[in-house]
Amino acid sequence: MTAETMFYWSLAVTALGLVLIGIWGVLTKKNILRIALAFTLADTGVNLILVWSGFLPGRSAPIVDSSVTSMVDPLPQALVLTSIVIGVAVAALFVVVGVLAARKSGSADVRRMKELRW
Amino acid sequence: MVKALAVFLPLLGAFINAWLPGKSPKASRAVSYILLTAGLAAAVMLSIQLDAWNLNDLSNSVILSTGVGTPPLSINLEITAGGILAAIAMYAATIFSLHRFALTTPRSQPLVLGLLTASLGLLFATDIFNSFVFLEIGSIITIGLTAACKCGSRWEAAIKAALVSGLVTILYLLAVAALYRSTGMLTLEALGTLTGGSAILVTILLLTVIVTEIKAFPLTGWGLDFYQGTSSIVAGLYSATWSLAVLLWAAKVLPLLPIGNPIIYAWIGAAGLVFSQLAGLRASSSGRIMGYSTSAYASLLLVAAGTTTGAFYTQIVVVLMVFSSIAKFSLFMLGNPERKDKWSGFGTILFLVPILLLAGIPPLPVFWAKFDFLAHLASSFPVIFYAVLTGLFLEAVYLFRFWSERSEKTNEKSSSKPSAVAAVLLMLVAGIWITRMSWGALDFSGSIIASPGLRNIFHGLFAIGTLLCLPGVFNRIGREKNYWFWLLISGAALTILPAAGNGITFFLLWEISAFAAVIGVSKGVGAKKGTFWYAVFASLSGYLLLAGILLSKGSFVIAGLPALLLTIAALVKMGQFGTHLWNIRAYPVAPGTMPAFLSGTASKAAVLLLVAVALNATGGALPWGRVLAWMGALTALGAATLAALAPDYRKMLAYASVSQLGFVLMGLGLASILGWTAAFYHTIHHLIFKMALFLGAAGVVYRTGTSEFNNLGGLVKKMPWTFAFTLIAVISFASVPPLAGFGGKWLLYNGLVEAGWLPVLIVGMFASVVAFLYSFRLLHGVFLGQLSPKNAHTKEAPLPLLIPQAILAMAIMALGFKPTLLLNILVPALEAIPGLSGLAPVIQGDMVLTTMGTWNAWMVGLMVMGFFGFAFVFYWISGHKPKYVGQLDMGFAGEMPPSADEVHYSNNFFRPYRRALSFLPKIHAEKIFNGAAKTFNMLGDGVRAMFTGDGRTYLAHSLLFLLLLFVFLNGGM
Amino acid sequence: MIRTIVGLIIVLALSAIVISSISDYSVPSQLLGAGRFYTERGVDDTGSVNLVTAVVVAYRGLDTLGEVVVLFCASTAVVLILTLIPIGANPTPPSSIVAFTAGVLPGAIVLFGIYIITHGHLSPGGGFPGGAVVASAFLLVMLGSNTIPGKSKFLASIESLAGLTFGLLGFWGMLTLGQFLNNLVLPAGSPGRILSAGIIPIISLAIGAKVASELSGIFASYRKAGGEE
Repeated sequence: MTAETMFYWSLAVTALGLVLIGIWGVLTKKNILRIALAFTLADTGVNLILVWSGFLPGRSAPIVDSSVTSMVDPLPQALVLTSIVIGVAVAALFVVVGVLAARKSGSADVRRMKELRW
Repeated sequence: MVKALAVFLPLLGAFINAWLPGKSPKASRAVSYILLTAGLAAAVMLSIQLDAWNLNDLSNSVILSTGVGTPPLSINLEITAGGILAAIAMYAATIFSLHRFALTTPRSQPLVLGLLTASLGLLFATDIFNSFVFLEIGSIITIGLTAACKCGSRWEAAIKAALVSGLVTILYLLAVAALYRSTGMLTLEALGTLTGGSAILVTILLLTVIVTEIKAFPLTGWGLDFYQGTSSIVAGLYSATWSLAVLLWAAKVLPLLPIGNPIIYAWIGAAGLVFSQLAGLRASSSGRIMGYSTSAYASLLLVAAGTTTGAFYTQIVVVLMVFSSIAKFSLFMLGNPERKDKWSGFGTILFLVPILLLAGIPPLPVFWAKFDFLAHLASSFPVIFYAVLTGLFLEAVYLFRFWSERSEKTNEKSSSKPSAVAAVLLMLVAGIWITRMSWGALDFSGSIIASPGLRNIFHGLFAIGTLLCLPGVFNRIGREKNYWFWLLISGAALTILPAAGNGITFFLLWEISAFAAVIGVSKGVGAKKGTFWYAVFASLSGYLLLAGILLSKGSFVIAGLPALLLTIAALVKMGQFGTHLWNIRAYPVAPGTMPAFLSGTASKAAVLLLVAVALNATGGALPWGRVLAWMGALTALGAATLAALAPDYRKMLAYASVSQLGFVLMGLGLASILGWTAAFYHTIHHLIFKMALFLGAAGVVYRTGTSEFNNLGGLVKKMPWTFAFTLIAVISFASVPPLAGFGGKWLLYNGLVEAGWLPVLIVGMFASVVAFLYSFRLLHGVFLGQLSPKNAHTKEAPLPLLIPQAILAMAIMALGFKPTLLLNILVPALEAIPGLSGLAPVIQGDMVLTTMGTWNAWMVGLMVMGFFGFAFVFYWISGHKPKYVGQLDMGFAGEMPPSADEVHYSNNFFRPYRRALSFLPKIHAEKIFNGAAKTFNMLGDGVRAMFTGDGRTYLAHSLLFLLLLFVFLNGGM
Repeated sequence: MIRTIVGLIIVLALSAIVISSISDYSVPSQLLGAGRFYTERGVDDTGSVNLVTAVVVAYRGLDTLGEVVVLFCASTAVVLILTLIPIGANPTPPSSIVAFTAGVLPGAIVLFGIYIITHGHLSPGGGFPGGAVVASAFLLVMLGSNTIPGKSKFLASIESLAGLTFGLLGFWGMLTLGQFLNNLVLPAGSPGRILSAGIIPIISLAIGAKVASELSGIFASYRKAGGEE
């Protein structure tokens, strides 16, 4: 296995690991802000996976220049740009709603936000 | 250009509004309205261009291309004919609800317009990442609007929506990455080219996302909490724009997923429908009820995606989703009583139309789609068909409960909310439009009742019955408003009913008549509970009828299971064998002449249905005739006993009505000409005397305001004419010669003897004897005995009620002395039916001859009258002078009498009989039904226990669903 | 406890699913599908040498418009929600280091941000990163002062105008070339020049202004609502 292949797969594993850690956090953490952090973590992992999906080992950034002969795929990078901004937007809103919900219920514990059920 | 305007104008409005409301709220509203109207105009132009209003063909579409180049490089929006219809609905809903947002939170206008943009974008998106962007806009706005609304649980609702949207984001982007990594494309079509491991991965990820987003069971939890927690304005806008867009987007994506066999969708949907609707039975808050209804429609979408394809699929999905969304919108716009808003508007109608629409009652638009869809399921996927039907019935039950709980509040205020009014009008107009288009499915050319004689008898029966109820409709008490309108509609539908030439026509008229009557009953004072029961049993019989019709391919010609279902539908409608619960609850509370109509006229629709089943399925003899005859006999006896013990005038008549229909059933079960002659004779006779009795009761209630025996009595002096007509009717139904009732019984017993069904005969005769008990109590309790001081100033019933009674009484006399007038029509018509056995009664002049004996009504009548006259003369010359005493004129040996009610002579009138019968086990139908309700409630509680309210649980549901899908697909593929 | 176990099972099963599903993937050596077209035709189609920007603004401009709307809606929602609750206490005064930095750096940061925005079609960058850089200057200023920022109509106007510009440019493409958001309504120019690639620089500018104002709006709202109650 060449170093490039190693890098390629380790990128995938890292990204997947981030996603799984994030999901783990979302499912098991009680504090609403920790859940927000877990989501951010998972988002980062997903973004990495997106980048990875268009990544070719050994190629350069997709900016056309006389010196560049081979590039990686520009599309996933564009998608990631969008996805990052969306992640920021969602996180900003999530934190606001989370903090205010915590203020309302008197604690940041999601288990206490169970007024609506059944 | 038009297409770009239709899609992107709200976006410009949103941007402008980010800045305007701070400066001048009026200008910002004006800008919003102008842009929205322009966008709506563009959408309407597009819809005309695409011929979208022809719902039979929604395949046209036009491409709006964006960016540079063509897909897969750039992004296209595909504006489909179905989508543009949904877009028009969304525009309309946004325009209608904008003023309420502008009033409460003016700065939320950019979000409202943004939600419309996102919905339009998602509706037309053809690119998977583009869909993602719109999905995120929608989620963010939903969260934002919820968190900014003015209601207590907003933070919690918002945080749950945010949690779910976070998870959906992750799963969705994983799917996008997998798709792009495998195919190098991001168009939705690229989904179909996936193979191998990534196909499964993308399928389970996207299916989980879709099921979560459309809130189908089992991933419904967050949606329920969201609908319950957010304000009604936000929920209304959400359901009409965003929820609709997500549903239609899901409908677009589902067929493209490389799932192998799409029937999996149908199983998820069908199972989800039953379970979620069971849980829905237990929901109490209106937001939650709407949430469960949303879940039902999401499940229907899954079923449709799994079982139908092509144009049919598009048509069903568009009609179901668009109209159910508008219905939910208008319900939410009507306000939420639990949050101190008041339901308001034009009586209950404003509120009822969307409920009926959601329940799929004709002629509202959803009905047509549901009917076609269920017909398709019935012919190809029977198990799914039964599951869907069960789910839909459960949905109807809780929707009607919801309505009956709210309808009384509705009567109070009359200020209208324009948005809700507009939405309701929209639905009605659309209903008429679609009905007109689907009119081709209706058939009046050849009736399902092949015999013209019988058909004309039924036409006449329904028409005369309805007409006789009409004069008295304006003599009403208190808040009994305008029920006459619904009585008229119901009666008109019934009158046309015998002409129906195929199943759908029959069903349509049957349901219109039933639910118009339900609305009519709801206008009564204190009719809340009675209306609910009536609505539930009406939908039960409606769904049974529907199942029977669909299983026999839209006709009535198939014996076996379809015929059985149709028969049960008729029994429920007649209130036979334990299903009488609705009769005894609805009749006593129905307004004015409504009970006369229901009992006298509307119940005959069930007789018509039984006749139709007999004629078409077997050519004459009713299937399971002997069982039916037994059921009829037992019902006749049981209901008569209960009638004798009933404490209320109208309740007694309701029991009596059930009991009398039992005799009709006995006759029909005989399958001989004699039996059917008896059944038809008794049907007509029942119409006559029961209407006379109920009209009399209407007069009594109108004058005294009560129908409890304890408060009545002695009215013969105050209401002599009513008494006279009631007396004639009572003598007639007690089957004493010379009046009409005797003939029916005579023919029936002849038939039973001829067939050798002696045990049935004995039970039937015994029931007739019990009928004496209650007929006596009826006369005595209301008209004879002592006059209650409360009724000292009561007057005779008004003429509009008396005249129909007079006509009916004359009919009884005529029929009693000259039954051959009727038999001359009946017997030839029945003789022509090939399937009936036995010899027809022979009519010679006034003589009626059967194999058992002869009957000369004219002679018998004259003789009886002679005896009666002799007795009367004897009484008159004997000079007997009775002494009149007041109700409270009695000795109590120094004790205080307890109360006027308890010493009333008719209090607990038949106590000895009650005691004598007390050794019988008390198997009340009520208990059985309550037990069934309890079981359903327990099941519902079991299902909804999974919606714990913890946001993370909902995420776990989604992920577990994903794992199960993986296991299932890997096992199945 | 149950939650931990279920969570563990879910996470392990998820990893198993993903790994088993992508086990047939190999390290790619060629671009496939859309990616290859972009690298081959991108500069000719759009006139932008930065292909990421070409994809973001030109090819998939609709995604970007949507993305702008996402941020716009989030910012509007945050501001809306936070105006509905009482204003928090005055923040603690900044340390002298922050206060000093806030006096010196913002100018340079804004300049840098503008450079990134305007050179989006030539070098790594564009409206989003540049806008975020500009917003960070605003954040620094805010942290450096010890008062609560007041309502800013200026920010709202910038936001609104930038959004309108983006939308109207889209309609311009629709009107002239029949394609919403087509960037060649202005000439492509010679690739590599600052004034090239059609309307990409204008859109970048609009995006930059919008992102900067929206992020600033979010920061300001946070600041307003923050502090002890």
